[in-house]
Amino acid sequence: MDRSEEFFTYLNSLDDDYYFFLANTVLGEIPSPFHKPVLNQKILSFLLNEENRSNLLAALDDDDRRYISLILLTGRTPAKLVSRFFSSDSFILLARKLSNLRDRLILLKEEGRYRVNPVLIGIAQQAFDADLLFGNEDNGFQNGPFVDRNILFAVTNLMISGQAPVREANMHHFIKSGKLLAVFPQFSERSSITFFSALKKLLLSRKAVNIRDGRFIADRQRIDSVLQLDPLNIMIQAIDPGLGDSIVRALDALRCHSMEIQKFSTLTRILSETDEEQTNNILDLLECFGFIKIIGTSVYFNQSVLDPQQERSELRTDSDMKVRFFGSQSPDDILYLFADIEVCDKLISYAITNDSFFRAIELGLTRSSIESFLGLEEQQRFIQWENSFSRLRLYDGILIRCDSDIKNMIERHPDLKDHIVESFGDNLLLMKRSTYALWQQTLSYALDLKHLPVVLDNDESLQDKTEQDDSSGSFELGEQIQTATSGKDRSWDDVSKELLDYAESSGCNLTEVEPLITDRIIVSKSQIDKNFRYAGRISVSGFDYNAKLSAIKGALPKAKNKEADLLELELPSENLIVQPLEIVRTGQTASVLRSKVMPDGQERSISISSIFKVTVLRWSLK
Amino acid sequence: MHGMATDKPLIIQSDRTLMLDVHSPSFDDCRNQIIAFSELIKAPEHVHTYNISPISLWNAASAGISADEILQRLDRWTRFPIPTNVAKFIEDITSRYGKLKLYPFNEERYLLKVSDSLIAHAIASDQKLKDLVHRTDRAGEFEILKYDRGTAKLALIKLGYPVDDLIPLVKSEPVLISLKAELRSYQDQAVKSILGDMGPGTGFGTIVMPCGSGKTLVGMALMSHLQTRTLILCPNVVAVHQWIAELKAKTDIDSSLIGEYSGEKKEIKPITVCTYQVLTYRASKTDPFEHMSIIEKGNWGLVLYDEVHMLPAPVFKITAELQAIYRAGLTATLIREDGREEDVFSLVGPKRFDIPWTDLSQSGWIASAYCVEVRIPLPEESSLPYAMASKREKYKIASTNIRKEKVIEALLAKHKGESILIIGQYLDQLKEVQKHFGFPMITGSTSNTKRDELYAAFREGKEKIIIVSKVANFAIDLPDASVAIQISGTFGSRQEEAQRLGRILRPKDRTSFFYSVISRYTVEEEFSQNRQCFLVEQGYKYELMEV
Repeated sequence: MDRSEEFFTYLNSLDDDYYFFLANTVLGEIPSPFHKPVLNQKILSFLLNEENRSNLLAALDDDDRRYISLILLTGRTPAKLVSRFFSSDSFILLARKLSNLRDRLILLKEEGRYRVNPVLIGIAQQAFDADLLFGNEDNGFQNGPFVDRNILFAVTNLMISGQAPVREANMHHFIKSGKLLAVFPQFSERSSITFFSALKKLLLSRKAVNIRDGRFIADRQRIDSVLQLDPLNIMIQAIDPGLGDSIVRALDALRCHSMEIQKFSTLTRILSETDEEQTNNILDLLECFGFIKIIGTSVYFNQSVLDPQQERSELRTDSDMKVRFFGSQSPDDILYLFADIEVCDKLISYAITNDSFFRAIELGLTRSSIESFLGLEEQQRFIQWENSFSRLRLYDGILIRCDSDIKNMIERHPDLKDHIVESFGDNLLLMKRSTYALWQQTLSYALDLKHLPVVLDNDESLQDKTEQDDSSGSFELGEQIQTATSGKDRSWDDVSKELLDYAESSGCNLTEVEPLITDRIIVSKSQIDKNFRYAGRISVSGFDYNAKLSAIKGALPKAKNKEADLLELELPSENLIVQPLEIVRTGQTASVLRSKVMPDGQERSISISSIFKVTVLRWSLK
Repeated sequence: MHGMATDKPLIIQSDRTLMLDVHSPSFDDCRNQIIAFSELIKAPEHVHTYNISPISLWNAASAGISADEILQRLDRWTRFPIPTNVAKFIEDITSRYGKLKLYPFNEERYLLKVSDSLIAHAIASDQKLKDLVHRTDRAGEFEILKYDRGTAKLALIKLGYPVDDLIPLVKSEPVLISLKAELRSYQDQAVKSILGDMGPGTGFGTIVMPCGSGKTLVGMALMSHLQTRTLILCPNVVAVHQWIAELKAKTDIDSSLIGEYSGEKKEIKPITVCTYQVLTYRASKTDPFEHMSIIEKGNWGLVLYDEVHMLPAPVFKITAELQAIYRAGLTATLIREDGREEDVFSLVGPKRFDIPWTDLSQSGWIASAYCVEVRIPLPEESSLPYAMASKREKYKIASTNIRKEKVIEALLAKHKGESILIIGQYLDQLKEVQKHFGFPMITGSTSNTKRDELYAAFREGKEKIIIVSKVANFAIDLPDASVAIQISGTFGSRQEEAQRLGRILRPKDRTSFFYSVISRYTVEEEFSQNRQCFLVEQGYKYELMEV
């Protein structure tokens, strides 16, 4: 549907009262008979007229720009969330302004959501001002840690090395051990627990790491696709790939302008179209991942995220088998497969142990590939380990290939020999599958192994390839959000003066016209004619009780599902915006208005005689 | 990919660890600057590790180095910005030094003055301190009973408040003693690190030096400077005798002024050498430590704690009470099974001097050592019993592998004519070796006289090879031992491995060899790798030899 069509659909959805109010203010007197499509077309033409558009733009003040900027940024925005975003503004101002912007056809409201009139998008874009919307404070903080690929490697390693427990029941003990703090000292304990859990979930859901025989095993085929991710995408995939766009847009806004927590929270909620709980969860994860930081009541973007990632330095391997480097690991780095993470800080340190080497051999790495990766000559310790782990391999859970010493031992061991199905030559034994749990435990103990070295069939992972999650869409932080360029050809002062002069010279009733110019409803000479009768805003003040009563009655919801008009009430000691619910008659001069006070919706009964002035704001914010 | 070595060789981690790249052209300059406020943890060949701790910062503060100076030095060498939490830690912890000062008060009490009202309030309201640090009605002032001085200081340090102890140390009656030997440069530095300017806040500390580097001489140099009654505490009787022999050989003190206080003798003289064991002896668990009074009533001016990492827990309390006198702890390794290293530093004194083993080895002050792990298979008849044994039994089966004797034979042949120690854990294994080879053996049951005789014979070259059990782990002065063959050890004890290597590190004109014989594909492998950790972190490499 093109923009005009969208606009016409909107116009046709309005009830007659409001439709004709709008038509009247734009086109003047509507002659009868009339043809609605023709009226719509005329309204459209009015809005597309260059001079009118220029005047519409000139008529926008700073508050208008702020509200338009938010709604342009966020798209179809629930009214409640607009009100929450601007909660620091006076609600009366907000209510008036939004009502006014609707009357000017700049904003539309459908099903409780605001959006920019599609035929006036260009004006809205010219009016967009991020500085006005978010404020102009310091953009962000520097020098903060965030979850990057090194950390993803480290988390993967914690899982596959057995340092992190498989069973959730043991997580508490793992956390209490302080291991996460020791590995990720740059982060708070809460952050490290949070991002560890999120990344673990990501790795498991993408089947990059699987659980087998009670331990985590890396699937080298699938893990690569996860390790390719850059920090932003790691974070998005861990939070919710479906919300990627909205998270990026929220971060884009934040990285140019820090903002209050509540504003950022509301913005995120609007963009992600989720509920409050989910929004809080998103913010928590953004903070724990290091992308944002909350300082006092403000949220800042971590500018370090934008810094180009320094390539990994050369590896330094000491004879205590610690491997150290700084900078970012590349996706094809294999260190995490054959060493155990010790600390992931500015300098990253891994330790090669016999267990970690064992794990690497199981995964199909070779000693020479490890040495080559480390840039080392032949290492005696590696040769020793390689020989040790080559003594026995288990195939398909039941076929043991081993050296003759081990074979002799198994054949004589009282707790193992009965599990032998058949013996082949000096090196092969076929064992019973049914008693695998028993004999593998006994044999592991006999050989001082944590578990028997299995041959991991990487082809197994290919069987499930069709199930592979394809939601690997890549997200990027976008261009800097624009602030307004000029956006104004003429000032509103000049325009309004011109319009007033014209109205006067045309013989119009200035009492009627001037408020409409002040309210920027009239922006063009074509809207000024001495014969026009304007609907205007209903406003009654003073001692005319019946007029006030009548205005209030008119604002009550006419149909069951119809929105009530809002009323602005001027009382002796306060001004209120209320949604009228009903009038309770207690006598001719003692009627009471039962209403909800906006924005909180608290019910209150107000004596009508105590109201000094009542103004009907045509549409509610519900 | 870029190199690590640059003129910014330091990386500061968020956990206050400093990683220093050895290959950087600025390595030496950087190290010299950071050692003043950090502690060397390990020194393998590529990246050295230091740690900034409260005690290292207070050490620096006591030497007049401010937080600003520390941060400037770090900033000069760091490759990346100093982590904010580290900078804050340095400022906060350093600022605490000097806020608590301890002064003399009266016959029974000392006065603790606290210049920060918040700290004073925290001390006043801390339950753990209420029996040690007594409130007064003077703001910021507390009183400490004299005998609680050390315990109170320890408790305050544990809470994060270091005490600047300004009570002048008592020297006791003079004892004239002069050193006849010359100190090496690093030994002189060690002495100066304890004595400082002899002002308040000096005169106590711990010295960490590799085995064979002359800690005994450093102790004697301290005695020579202070010229006062001295109590020397040692791990065993052999060490006592060694100290006495060294005192006689290297100082001008008259023998009549040196006493031995041990299981065999009970002499209290101006210079008394004593064992930890005799101090902690009591007839039953409920009886008092009858010999502890030697410390309390000896009117000592200086106490030397040899192998201070072995300081027994019962001696801690007395040590806490010896705050008024000069004291120094000497050790090569800082590892304690009970994890109370910090208590040692708090009571005896903070680490004032530490030097990497490889530095001394490269300068020739200790012998360079070639470490070899000799790996042999278990005999077939042992494989099934091994497979079925408990973990502890597995270790013993592996350790007492009969095939080790063949290795000993081969090594003896290889090092024919050299002075060789064969060291082991299991007495029956050592007895088998003795039976096989006929060498003299020293164990815990060997009399002290016999022991000294054998050591003398070994020293003089009359005996070239001796078998020793773990009694010989510590404090043996064997200048000419150039080969050690370790056939079994105490599980994964890193300390024991280092001490045993130390038996062959005295300077000599040849390379020393340390062989550790293990059974491959057994639990002994894993324990052996653990044992090697400390030495590997000091820069030693083990060659693996498969047999």
